[in-house]
Amino acid sequence: MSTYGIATICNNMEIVSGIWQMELYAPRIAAEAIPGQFINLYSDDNTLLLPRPMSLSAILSDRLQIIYRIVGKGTKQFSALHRGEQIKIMGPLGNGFMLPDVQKHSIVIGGGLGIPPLLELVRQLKGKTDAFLGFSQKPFLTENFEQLGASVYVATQDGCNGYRGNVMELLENTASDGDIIFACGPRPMLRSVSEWAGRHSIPSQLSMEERMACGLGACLGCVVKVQRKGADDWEYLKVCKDGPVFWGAEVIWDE
Amino acid sequence: MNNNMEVSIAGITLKNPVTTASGTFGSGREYSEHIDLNCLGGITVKGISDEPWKGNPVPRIAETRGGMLNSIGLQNPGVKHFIDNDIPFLRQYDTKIIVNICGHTLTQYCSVAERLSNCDVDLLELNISCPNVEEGGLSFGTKPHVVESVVKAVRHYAKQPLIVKLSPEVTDITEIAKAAVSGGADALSLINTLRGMKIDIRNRKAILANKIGGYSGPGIMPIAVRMVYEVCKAVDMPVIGMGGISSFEDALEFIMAGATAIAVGTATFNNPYATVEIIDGIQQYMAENHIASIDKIRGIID
Repeated sequence: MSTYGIATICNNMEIVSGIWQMELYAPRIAAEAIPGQFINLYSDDNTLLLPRPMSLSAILSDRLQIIYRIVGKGTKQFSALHRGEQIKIMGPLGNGFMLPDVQKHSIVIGGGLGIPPLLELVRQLKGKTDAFLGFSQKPFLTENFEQLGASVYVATQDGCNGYRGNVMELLENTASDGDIIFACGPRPMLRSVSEWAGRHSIPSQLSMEERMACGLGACLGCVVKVQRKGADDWEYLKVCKDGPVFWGAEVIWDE
Repeated sequence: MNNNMEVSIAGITLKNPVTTASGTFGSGREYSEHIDLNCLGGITVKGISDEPWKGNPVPRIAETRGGMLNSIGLQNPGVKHFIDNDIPFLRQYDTKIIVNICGHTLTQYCSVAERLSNCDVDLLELNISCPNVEEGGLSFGTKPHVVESVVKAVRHYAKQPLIVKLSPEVTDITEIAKAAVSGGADALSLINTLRGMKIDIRNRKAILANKIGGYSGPGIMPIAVRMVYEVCKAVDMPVIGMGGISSFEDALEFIMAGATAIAVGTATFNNPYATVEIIDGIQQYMAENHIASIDKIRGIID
């Protein structure tokens, strides 16, 4: 059950160039949310018609934390909001990650702004966790993963920190014998993750992204091509409602 | 003062003139967590075809300044799924069920109307104006003689009153409206989206996978109001007005232009409460201005 209402901003600050962290007081949503779910933020500017979907980097007792990059007018406006100001939000939305019942050795793979939702996931995962985190430039949140006890492996495209190159090369070069994978990041990375997982016969859960309108399954704008169960056919499933988390083995990557 | 918001479309009474525009409200279920569906005059569900339709490739959505483009391609699970799952759900609520029907061929349209003929739904809305499917949709909705024959054929199978949804992408919408009336339409709804395009200048590509999609939002409203006005002057037929409505003031413009009822579409994405806020706003306007019945203000523009 999701809630639509007004949340108060507790803090909102730039954590690394162009990337911001906002904490919102939203007790009803915080009480229900699980890792991998998202919220819609609604702008007051009527030239921006559609809500902005944001993944949750932390779910606290009465607050939510999001981490976002300034990519356009909407996120620029969000970054100008101060402590005590209010914003309309809806959530929690989507299915979230399916946490294993038994203790597993988890491999968590994130790329760029796909990393924040993995932080709350790692906070709730039991057992050993290896976190492979890829960035184009300066890393962020790596210490937060370390504080949660994860073994952190960093890759940067510009080589400013950790391995120079992409996170999948780093994964190939690192001996990790995990038994379940959780990933969030750009589509090419997720495709590589699902193929790698297939080769190693490890189940993978991928958090997908697509351009959305409603965010709650009404408009069918955001879909991903998925293999139909028990049939030699595929269907488009909704990222906002059936996802954003899908089993990697079921996603079809041909478009 | 007890102001009466009831309106009648082809003998079906809606408790108020506010409905949802097809494709923006799913089957109602999706928004039932947020608003009381009992408040609505009617729910027009997402387009239903005889067999499941997969829809178009992604991206299907592009935001524009104050509006949006969509190219969903009428993805839907088919009429059987609708009958088994959505009718029982919607019937829990005290609101009218309006089923938008679509097809690639005339036979497919007729098949959906026939399948629904013994089902508990209130009105059918014939979608001959979707810009996002290659066959059917808009190709059936822009030539008067084609419109007339499609409406006549579907009318034969439909047991419920038939609303015909018109495209604005025609030279003279009154000609199309008259053709729909000649074919046996019981009501008209207008307007569907206008074809638009948005280009990502950094990637040098159209944002939509299909490049062109249907433009909706407040930007199309003056066009829609003008067309509702023209159609209401040209034919004696109830009209459901839609296109960019996001406030009660917008809704009243359509009613004053002649619409019997209105539909809220894209505004719901921006404000999930848009429909209920519009109902409350119309009621308050009527009370403040001592308007006993919606009929008193309908079509008052000369």
